[in-house]
Amino acid sequence: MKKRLALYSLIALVTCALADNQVATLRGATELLDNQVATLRGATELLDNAPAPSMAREINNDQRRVRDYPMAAPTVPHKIEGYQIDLAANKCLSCHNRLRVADSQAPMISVTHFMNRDGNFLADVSPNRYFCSQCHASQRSVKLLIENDFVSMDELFTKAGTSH
Amino acid sequence: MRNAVAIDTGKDEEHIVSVILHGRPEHRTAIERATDTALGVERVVQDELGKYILVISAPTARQVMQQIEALQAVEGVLSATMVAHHTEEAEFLNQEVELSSRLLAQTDPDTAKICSRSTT
Amino acid sequence: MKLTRRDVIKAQAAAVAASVAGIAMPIHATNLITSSAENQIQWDKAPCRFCGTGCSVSVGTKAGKVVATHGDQLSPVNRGLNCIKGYFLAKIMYGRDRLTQPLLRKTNGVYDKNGAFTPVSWDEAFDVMAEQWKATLKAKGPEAIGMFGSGQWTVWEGYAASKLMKAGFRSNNLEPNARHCMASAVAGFMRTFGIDEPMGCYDDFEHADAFVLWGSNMAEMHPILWTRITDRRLSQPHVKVVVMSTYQHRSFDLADIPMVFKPQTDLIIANALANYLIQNNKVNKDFVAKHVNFRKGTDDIGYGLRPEHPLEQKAKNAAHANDSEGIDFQAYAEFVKPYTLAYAAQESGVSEQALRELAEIYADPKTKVMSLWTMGVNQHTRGVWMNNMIYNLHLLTGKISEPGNSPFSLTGQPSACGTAREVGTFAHRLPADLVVTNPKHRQIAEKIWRLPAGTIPAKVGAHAALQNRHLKDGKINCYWVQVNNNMQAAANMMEETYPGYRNPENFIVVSDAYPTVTCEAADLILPTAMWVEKEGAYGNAERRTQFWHQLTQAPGESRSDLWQLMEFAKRFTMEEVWPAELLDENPDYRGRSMFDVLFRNGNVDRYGMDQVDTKYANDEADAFGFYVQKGLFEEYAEFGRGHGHDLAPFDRYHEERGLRWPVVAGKETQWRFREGYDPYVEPGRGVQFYGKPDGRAIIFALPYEPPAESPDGEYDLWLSTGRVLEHWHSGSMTQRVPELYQAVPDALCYMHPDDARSRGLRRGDEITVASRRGEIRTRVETRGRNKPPLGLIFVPWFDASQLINKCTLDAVDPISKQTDYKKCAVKVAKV
Repeated sequence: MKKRLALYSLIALVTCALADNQVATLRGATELLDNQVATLRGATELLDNAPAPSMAREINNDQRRVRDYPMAAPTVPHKIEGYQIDLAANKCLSCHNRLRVADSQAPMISVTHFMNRDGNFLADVSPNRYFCSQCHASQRSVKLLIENDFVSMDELFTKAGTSH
Repeated sequence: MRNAVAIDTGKDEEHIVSVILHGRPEHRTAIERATDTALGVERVVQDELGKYILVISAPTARQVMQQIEALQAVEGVLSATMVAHHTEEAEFLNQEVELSSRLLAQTDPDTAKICSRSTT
Repeated sequence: MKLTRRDVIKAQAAAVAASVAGIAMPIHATNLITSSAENQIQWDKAPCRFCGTGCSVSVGTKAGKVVATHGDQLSPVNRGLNCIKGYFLAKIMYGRDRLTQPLLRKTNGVYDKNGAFTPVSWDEAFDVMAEQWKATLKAKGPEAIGMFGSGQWTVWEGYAASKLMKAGFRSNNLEPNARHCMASAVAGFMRTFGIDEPMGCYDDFEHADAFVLWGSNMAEMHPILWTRITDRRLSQPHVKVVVMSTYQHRSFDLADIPMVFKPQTDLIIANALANYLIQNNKVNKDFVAKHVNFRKGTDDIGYGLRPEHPLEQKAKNAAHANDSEGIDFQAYAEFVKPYTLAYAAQESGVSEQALRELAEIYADPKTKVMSLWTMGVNQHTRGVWMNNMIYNLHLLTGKISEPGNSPFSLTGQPSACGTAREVGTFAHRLPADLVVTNPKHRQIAEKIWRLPAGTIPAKVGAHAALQNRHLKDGKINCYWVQVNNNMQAAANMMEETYPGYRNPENFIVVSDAYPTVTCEAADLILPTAMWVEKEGAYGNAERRTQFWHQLTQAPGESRSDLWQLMEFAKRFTMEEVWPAELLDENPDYRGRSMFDVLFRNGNVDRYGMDQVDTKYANDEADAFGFYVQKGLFEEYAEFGRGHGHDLAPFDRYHEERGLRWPVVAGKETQWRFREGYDPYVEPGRGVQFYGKPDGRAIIFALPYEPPAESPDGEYDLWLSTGRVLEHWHSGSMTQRVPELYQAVPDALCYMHPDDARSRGLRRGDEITVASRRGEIRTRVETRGRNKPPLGLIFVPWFDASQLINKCTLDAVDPISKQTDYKKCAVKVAKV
């Protein structure tokens, strides 16, 4: 409860907070020289090579994340490296399919996944949705290189509410 | 690997789904009665050609699907197509939107570590 | 009134559905939200910003910002689906470091190539830029200026650039980055069919019995099209999927017949399949007799390297790469006879059994087969040959231009078709497949553009790789880059691209939304609007032209590429760009500005502000006082209408989810060259390849030739490069979206575990990957999505910190001039 509320308030606060902490929260952020602009690259000269960062771990805490808009595809909150999704088996569906969720306690795949291209509703997952990883990826435990100032509709509705 | 503890905290979930229902205009009465009496189904808007926008909310996705299946079985219904699907814990859906200023006052300092609003 | 979050979510879900259904939400139905219209989310369609699949999305805007996107249910391409990148389109414009002001390198207040990036006004930016252009034009003429544009330009941006360069500056040094991606496909079409772009369409997916992926990785690179293949394969048990590549990747997860082949031996496999058809009597003799000619292509054509390179010195026919001689079916059969399945198996490493199964797919007259390829075939020193050879198979069997039988050349970029190819933003081209070397074609362009005869230069300009060489050699001195990141994308950065951009004789201008490595190598950076910050049009892989309106404002002082091109034209009088003789013969043009001649020519400025839809912003129309997008489009459409490239009227595209050209009598065309589907086929012809004067397509006899650079004693590994699902191209947009960045933050070196072990490497170790030309630092991945065979590594190119093109070689297909990004020799070592 507390964590959720805090996340909610963070949404409104994030711009202010991050502006102060920008350098500290960015990954290996270094000051660019005045003849440099390539922020994704940092201060490494174009002809040089920076040390390669170590391979980042997948976040595996099962914590479901807030989606910034209802139609965004949710990211996967657990490790999926090596998960088999092919003609023989679909590891994701072994927990997330309709008939499996009672045992697995995993969230069921969205009802939209039972609808095929023609808008017909099927008894099982529509085949065109079979390869989960085309839309759903896990997240690595890395700090961002560049912040994103996307403003969600919730924030805008909140602002609209308070302005009346 | 994943821990074995259930993801659901045991709190109530709510699924909100919007649907485009297409029905034959001559069956309008029966279709409208069906949508009006189905649990969790709201008729939001429609046109003269037999298209309806419905919003369905239910505690489980299975119940949403059952409602849609039930509507598809109503005579005169040509199709019911899902468009958007949102899932959230019911208690958060109950929150009032204008509470944002109070939420600000309750900031948890631990969350300052989080650098992106879309991760935990 | 009190609103709950539930109310808001319900209203939004309903609004999305209503927008899809085309029903207006009346105020009373949205009284869940405070009633003002400003508080509603507005939904509008737009094509996705990313790949050549051309999905359509619904874009939700509120208070001037994009707040959501979702797959457009109404689009026949994707029917509501997106891939992971598409799901995050709403975030791509909001990276915190958007460029918002022009930046010019200065020292002590004056331009200095080694100076610090200093914010300047647009006026000053164009002042300095015009000064540089004029000085270069005066000293060295139009061949010393160049422009590198994009398959991600909108249709009218490419068209305006084409006019600016070819008609205004009279320079053919205009190239798109599509030269790196589709040039081999284009040359393949022109050689085989005489006209560009696929004859089939996406409807083929739902009809085919077999899908053959020639080197493409559709699971990651054309994901929504892959969902259509997946659907077909999992719903219909008889359907077969064949996946061919030089390494195992995600598309192999759906493969019934997986094939990993030795690099470049796809040439041998293609000939072996043709030979199989002939030897087993599976040629559709009737079709061949009626619709096909045979030619033998010139061989020993080199690798498009610098002329002094030993490989170019050795190549007998480098100067005649595109030549061919007429032969007959018998000669062709004799030519491919040595390419037996056994030989192909031996050379490629693929089992004879698998090759036979694949051959049977093409051979069985009842099996409808779709061949699908992109960069594996196109980014290839014999890419044109590969394109020709895949068509050979479909022509020998008559499996073409009908539902399900479809050699489908997939496009990489969202508008490589719609802009680069169809508008012709190439060193050798004009719109609608016309070419600068043909005097009749130049006449057509001069007429439509209202220019004096002799304006358009006849000599082909410098292609992409040659532009980089000319920059390095100081032959091109003023260069404008728009909508691409060529410092990161072009091959051989250390020897060519970087020295070219940093050559003190050169003035480099880069227009971009974000500060990329190309910006860093530039002298002047222009902040640019992106995607729905401007009204635009793209053309996807199945010839579908799709429009969108401006839905939000570009930040700060950033402006669209179109505005920049047109505004820059105002800085020149015709005396400064055309030779005195031309003006003497045509004195009406004297004293006019280039903007006048190109854009106020009675055609482009024909549609007034009254035609602009007042529901949407249109910054370019406002800036220039007329509906520029419509004027440019309608003038451009004159080239193609009636000539097999028909586009519908401008306004129609804003209403539709795109239309596939040729659009004749209001109707789009799904299958070209076949009677009943294609209005251009003369009645009674059945099938007519009308790009060729006699209506016959050409089967080419072409051999195997080795790659430019293969592994040897010291550089003992093949390097292949490419993309990953989560990142588009050089990552300038997707690396700034948190969910996409955190999915795949860094490039990795995908390697076979035994190759790692034998080099004393473990997964996660830091290594250098080095070629003769340059090196990068990266980490070893032995368990990732890509599983190379022994002797090959794969490194994606989206990572600005791991510029893999420091290693690659700028060898090109000598016919198409397209770079081979899949084959060069490297070594790895632990750091």
